[in-house]
Formats: sequence, C-alpha cells, structure tokens
Amino acid sequence: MSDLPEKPHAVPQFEPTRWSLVLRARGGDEAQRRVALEALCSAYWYPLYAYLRRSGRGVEDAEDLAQEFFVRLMDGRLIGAADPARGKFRTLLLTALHGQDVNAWRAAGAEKRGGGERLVALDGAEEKWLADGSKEGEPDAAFDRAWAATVVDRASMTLKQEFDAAGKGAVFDELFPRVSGGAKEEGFRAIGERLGMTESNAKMTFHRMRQRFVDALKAEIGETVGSREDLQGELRYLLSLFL
Amino acid sequence: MDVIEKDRLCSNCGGELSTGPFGSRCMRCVMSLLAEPESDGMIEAADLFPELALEEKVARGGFGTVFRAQHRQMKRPVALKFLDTTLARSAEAVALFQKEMVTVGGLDHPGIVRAHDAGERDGRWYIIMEFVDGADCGALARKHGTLPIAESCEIIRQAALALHYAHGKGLVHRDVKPGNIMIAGAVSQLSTLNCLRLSPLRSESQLTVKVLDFGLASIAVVPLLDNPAAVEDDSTGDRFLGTLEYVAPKQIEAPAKVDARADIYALGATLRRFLTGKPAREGRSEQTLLLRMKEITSTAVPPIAALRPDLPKPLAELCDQLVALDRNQRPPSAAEVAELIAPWCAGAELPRLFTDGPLPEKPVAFPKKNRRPLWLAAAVIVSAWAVIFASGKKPAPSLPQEPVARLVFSPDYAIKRRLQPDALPRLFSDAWEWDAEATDLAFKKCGRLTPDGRIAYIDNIRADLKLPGVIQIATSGTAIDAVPEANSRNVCHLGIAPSGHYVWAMPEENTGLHIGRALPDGTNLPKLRYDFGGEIPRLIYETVRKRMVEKGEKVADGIPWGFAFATTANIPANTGLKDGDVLVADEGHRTLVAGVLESRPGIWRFRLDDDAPVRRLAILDPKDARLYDVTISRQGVFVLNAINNHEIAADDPLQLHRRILRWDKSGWHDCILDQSIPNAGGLAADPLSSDLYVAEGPASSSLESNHQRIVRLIPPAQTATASKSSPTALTS
Repeated sequence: MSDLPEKPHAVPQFEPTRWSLVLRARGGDEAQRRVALEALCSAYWYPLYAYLRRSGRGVEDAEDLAQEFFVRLMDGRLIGAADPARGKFRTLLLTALHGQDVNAWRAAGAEKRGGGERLVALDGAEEKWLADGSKEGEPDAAFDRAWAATVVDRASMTLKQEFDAAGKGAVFDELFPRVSGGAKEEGFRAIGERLGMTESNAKMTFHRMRQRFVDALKAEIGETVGSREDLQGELRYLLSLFL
Repeated sequence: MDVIEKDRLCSNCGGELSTGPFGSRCMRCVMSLLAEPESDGMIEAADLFPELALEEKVARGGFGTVFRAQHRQMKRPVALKFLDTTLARSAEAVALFQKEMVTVGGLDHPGIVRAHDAGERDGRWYIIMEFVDGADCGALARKHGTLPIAESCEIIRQAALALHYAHGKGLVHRDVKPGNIMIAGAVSQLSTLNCLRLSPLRSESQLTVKVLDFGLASIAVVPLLDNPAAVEDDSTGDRFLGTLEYVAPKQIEAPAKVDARADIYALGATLRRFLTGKPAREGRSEQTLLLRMKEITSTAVPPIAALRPDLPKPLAELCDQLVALDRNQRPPSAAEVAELIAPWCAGAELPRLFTDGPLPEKPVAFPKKNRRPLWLAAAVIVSAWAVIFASGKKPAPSLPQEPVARLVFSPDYAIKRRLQPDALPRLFSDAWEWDAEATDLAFKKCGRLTPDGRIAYIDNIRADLKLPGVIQIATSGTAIDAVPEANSRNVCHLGIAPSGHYVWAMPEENTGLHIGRALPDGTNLPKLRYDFGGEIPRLIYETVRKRMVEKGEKVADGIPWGFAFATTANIPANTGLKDGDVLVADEGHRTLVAGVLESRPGIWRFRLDDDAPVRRLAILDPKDARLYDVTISRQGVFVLNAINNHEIAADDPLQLHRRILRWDKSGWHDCILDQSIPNAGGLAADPLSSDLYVAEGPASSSLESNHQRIVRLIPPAQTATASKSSPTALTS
C-alpha cells in the first residue's frame, strides 16, 4: 500500500477543464483563456501535424499551416467558426481543419508572421511523423490515431512524474510496461524480488498503478472536453478506434 | 511516437506494439482499460481492511465479492465478503442485517461457517468469516449432474442439523441452496469451467457439511410481490434470479416474516436438485421475473416421481413434502427433516463426490418398508452411459483417431446452472456458445459468457417485438439496450470481447448486413455495414445461424456469420464465405497455419466445392464433410461437420449426425471417439482449458422433444493420459 505515491489522481471535477475555460472565458478573462488554450495547443499539436502530412503537405508547408492554425485558434476565429463542435477540443480541431480554406492561409499567414512567429514549438515533428508507422487511411484517421497516442503518452508522463516525485521511479519502470500492454511475460514474484516486495504486494501495486493510469487517462481526456457528458462520449469514441 | 515494432506483437492481444515515451505499449490494450469496470473491489477492500493481507479474489456471487485473506493478528486465513453497494436498499433491511449479524457472531456449530466480524466501513457492508477449505455442493452437483441418493441425503441431513441449531437462535437463513452448502476438509480447485479437480482425498471423517452465509440474505429483504419495481430492477433481479429456484413461496410474499419452514423448503429444493439434476423451480425463457415469482407462490412443485420413478416411494414423498406449497404441510422443524431423511443416508461416502467419473448408486439397504428395486436406478444410469459411450464406431478411415471421452450432462443445467458466476471467474467469452435447435432453447440463441462469468444471449421475443434490451444477461435479468431498430428480429451471432464489448450480426433483408457493436453498459457504437455484393441470398437468417449448409441454399460471399474472440484479445474472429471458400479470420492470434489454401496471418481458408449444394471442405474426406461450425482454442481449429454417410444415415432419418475434426499444424484429426454427434447445433472451445463443447440434440428424429444436451469433449491433449473407458469428469 505504501508503494505508490500518496496523491491519487482525480478524474476532473468538470468546471473547469482547460477546454471549458477556453469556451467559457470567451469575451471574459482573456488571459485565463489564453493560458488554457496555449496549454492545449502545446499538448495536441502533433495530431494536427499528422493530419496535414497525411493530406499530402510537405514538411515546411505542414509546419507553417500548423502555426497559422494555432494563430487563428488563439485569436478566436476558429472557435467561433466551429460552434457545433465546441464540446470537445479534438472535434473542434478536426472540424476547423475541414472547414477552412487552408491553401488561402498559407500566403496570408506566412506574410503576417514574417515567417517567424511560432506559437507552438513543433519539436521533432517530422521525426515523429517519420517514425509513426501508421500512415494508412484518411487524414482524419491519422489525426485520430495521433490524438489517442498523445493522450496515452501524456497520461503515462503524468504517472511517471508522480512516481518519480514520490521516489518510486523504480516501481514505475518495473510495472508500467505491464500496465501499458508491452510487458514481457514475467511473473510478479521476480518483479517483486527486484523491488524488494512480496509477490502479493507487487500484484496489489500493479492493480493500483493500473487503476491510477486509467484515472490519469480519463483526467487527460477530461481536459479536452467541456462537460461530463462530453467526456463519456469522448471515451467511447477513443475506445471505438481500437475495438 | 507510435513506432510500430513490426517484429513484436502484444503478448496480450496480438496487436501491434508501438513505442511510447516509456517503451513498448499496445494502444489497443491501453484503450481497452477505459472500458473496464472501475475496480474489482480488491484495492478498495485492501484500503478498508488494513488488518487483512488480501490474497486473491476467490468468488463473485450474487451478494458481492469474496476475497481470501490472512488476518494479520489472528495469523489465520479468513474470507472477506464485500457486499454489493446496491444491496442495502432500505433502513429496515440494514437494521435487520445488523441484528442478525449479532446473532450470527454468536453461532458456534460445526456445521456453520463461523463469522468473525461484520459491519460497515465507508458505506460498504462486509462480513469476515472462517475460510473454509473445501468445495461447495453447487459445484459438485454441476460436476456430476445428479448425486447418489445416500450422499444427497447425508448432505441434507447434516445441513438440516446446522439449520436447526440456527433456528433455535431465532435465525432463518433465507438463502439455502447448493452453492451455500460446503463440504469442508477437502482441498478443491476450481478450474476454468467449474470442472472440479481435487487433490487426494482425506479420510471421510474429515469431511464436514457446512452451511455458508447465515444472515446475509437479510440485507436484501424486499417484499417483492408488493414491489414490482424492485422486481424489474436490475440489481435486485441479480440476486433473486440466482436463488429463485430454491426460494420458498412465503419468502417472496413476505420476506421479512419467514420462519424455519422457508429454509426447509429450500433444503427440499436443494435435495431435489441433487437427485434429479434440476431445481424444483425452473424459469422459462419467456417468463418475466414477476410471472415466475407468481407461479412459485401459486402452484405446487410437480411430484419428483415424474423425474425419478426409481426413488423409493417414501423418499419421493418426503421430497415432495419438503417443497409443499403450503408451509404447514412441510415438516415443522429442520431437526425433523434430519430425522426423516436419516434412513436413506446409510452407506453415504462423501469422498466419492470428489472423484471423477460416474457415481453409481450403491446397493445399500434402505429401510425395509421403503425398499425399492435398486436395479432400476442402476439400469437407468448404466443405460445412460451406454448411450454416451457405446456408440463408438469405426473412425473415418483416412483420419488419425484421437479418442476423446464424451461427457454428457442434462440440458438445463448445462445452460442455466453451470454458468454461476462464482464458478467462472476467469472464463472468457468465446468459451461458450450454443446454437439451440431444441425447442426449449428456441428463444435463447447465441449464448455467450461475459467476462465476469454471466451469460448473455439474444432474446428473440424482444427482438420480434422490436423492444429494447434484445441482448439479455441471463444470471442477473439485466438487458442490454442494444439493437432496438427495424429488422432487429434478425439479430444473431452475438460475440463478447474479454473487455465486455458486444458484437453481433444483423442482416438487412436482401440488402446487406450490419455488424453492431456496444459497450459493456449497452451503449451502441457505430455500426459497420457489409454489402452482399450483388448476390442476394434467400435465407440470410438461416445463413447467419449457420443452417445454410444444411439447407443447401446458395450462400452469398462476404458475409461474416460467426463471431468468436481470442482468449485475451478484443479482436473478433470471424467465419464467413469469400470466393466460395470458408475463411476463418483470427487476427488476434496471428498464427500461421500451414497447408491451408490461404495463409495470411490470422486467416485460414478452406476450399469448398463450387457446385455442391452442400459445400464441402475439400481438404477433408469429400464423402462426408459438410462444414457446420468452426471454433478456435489453443488446441487448434475445430470444425464441426455433418456426416453424409449412408451407413450412418440409415438410423438417422434426419441425417443430422455431426462429427468434429481438429486442425493443427500436423493436419486434421478426428476428434471424437464415436465419430457422430446427433443433431449437433453449435460448437465452442474453452480457451483456457481447451475443453470443447457441443450442443447435442436428440438422437432420434423427434425434433418435438425438448431434450438437448451440452456435451463436453475432453481435448486431445488431456486424453493422452485419460482412459477411454473411464471418463475423467462429469459436468452438469
């Protein structure tokens, strides 16, 4: 029981999530809205990039368009244009992508920014894209896959940070691969021996870690939606991608 | 991100692994976590009970979850029963439960499982009790089908004495049933499909009958008939469906006012279950719970002699008396029950119940005035086994024979009683399927096990009426609100993934086929649609029910008609036709099966003759191979095919004999001892044990009969050590 960090994850209480702040603060607390939106953009730029690359855009083109997209997102133009999809950040991005004349952006955006303004650091974008094996299907599918992977990676990172902060990094390293499905078939007894735990303690720690990971996943997804109902729908959708 | 490691596949689901920030991960497995229940309670229990070192979950029953634990201070094993939060429905029930727990804590009888502690922590009700090392009689009865007279009576006698002691303390059990009676002192180990495998027996003197769960039912007291809403409620239905077969009429009418005679009724129903293989009360599929309860309170249980004409008349009369509708007609006390039944306990050897193989009646000396010709009972049993084993005929000449003992158990138990959740904690969904051809199952088709051990099936009546809740969860009475739309009567071929997701096929007449999907809570996911590609089959419905082969109809390509799931993967395996060939697609296993026409990973393709009205597997003996059903287990691919052999057809006017073949990397093997299974209607493999099950109809041409059996076939790996003449297990 003491092998996990004390602080449990909480599924977001709703109101506010980052996305609800973005929506609610329109015309209100601009600073708060901007911080929330920047955080979301910083987290979820890769699905956008994957969409653009899968649409046939070249590297520079995709980077420029992604930056232009975020500029327009920040100044509120895209959110206003995509009302029906406002419930979820993911669907807003996708709907906005579908609804815009992206070609017309490029010249205007590049000119305005002088080719220099970078709202979001697209670190290693192309490397990720090249490494991403899933290049089949429509751009929408590439977007969804990249989105799901981003959600999972962010939740994993949150969990890792939590364990590190509690001085339980070794526990994370040993048990997380089992949680995420990539584990070797090794018994809990051996894992427990390495961690100085009994077998049953290792099992219990694993169960707790798994539950906490699920909570972290839900919390991460929750930040991108505006209500509990939307969260349920979003969970179902992401799940159905892999069913 | 998402680097697909092409050489590596997920050891859990067979899906592709990708690389995340912390090494390999399987996106499918990770996302499936979102569909899992919040928790199985073990974590919560560990937090709430620091005095216990929780070891494992041992059962999941109608009242809650049971964990085995070590008590840190007492240094001994205990069982922690964690009651479902939905049970404590009223303040009155909670008060009664608390009062009775005080009494239970004071019980001290060798026939009663002792309670150490009970109460509520953080809103969760619990009971900590003695951990009993043994097997419950429900599991034993399922294993054997029926129990011999002497042993049945001995169990009831000992239980009656324990109940009498409790009644003397003012306590009524309210939930006496086989599953709440244990034979302690024998180490048991439940395998995956409630087939008991027991360690070497201890001496008989160490075996004691113990009654479990005293006082527990009090927390669930709801005046059911006065409260139809409670009856229809899923959560209440759950536990009452589990015990309605044993519940006394008065307990339905006024559960808070029952006395010892309710337990006597339940004892009688339990005895009847042991002796006949069937409970005293059986629900019919078309009955609502409310109708069923009304029937229990208004009609008498039929005389047992109709099912067991061989029973000594006084014993039959006692059996009927115990379950009399009017409680005044029952023996007035449990002690009297023990006394009345004692004469038939002579010669009882409880250890026999832990052995494999048939349990013949022993020629014991019944009370003189009750003596009945035992040869009759023996003859019945012998002839039954003769039917089972004696039909072993010559094998197909070209196929190596793998002798497999055939085990037969009665139909209703196979379906209704075998699937108790506590017996199936680890079973996955593709372990079980029957495709009912016998009339008693006509309204329940495509039965599948859910990951938590309940059974789900498609309710044709609701589908016909276009009502929601077409997929029913049998042991709880819950209905999954799936498929409520036009043509839903054609819903067929349900599959359930280990994650609890439902998948089903739903043909649209003459246009195409929908593959429906739903989450475990019944929420529909977007449907997939298949076109028939221009070839419109006449018998889509039958096609999807796999009867098309039998009827010789033209079948369209591209129609998936069956679903199964791999052992641990949420990826369905489909069977269907493509280019006139049968494809079995199992993307989860990604196993190459050499020697078949097509060997893409996970796809096996079997050649069929193009012009035959009955399509054949050319790889098999062309004289007698008609594909009927396919299932997959660790032992390989099993094919149920029909035998079109005149020799066999001579005594089978319907020509409905079937035979099972197994494909593995070394080729085809005939998989059963006697090569023919009459009127088989479905095939399923237990993914863990690889046991194989087939639904078997009557051997005669009488399709009017309600008789259907589910047969368990021991898989080839086990039969290497099993004796042909001595079947190793019975299940019922």
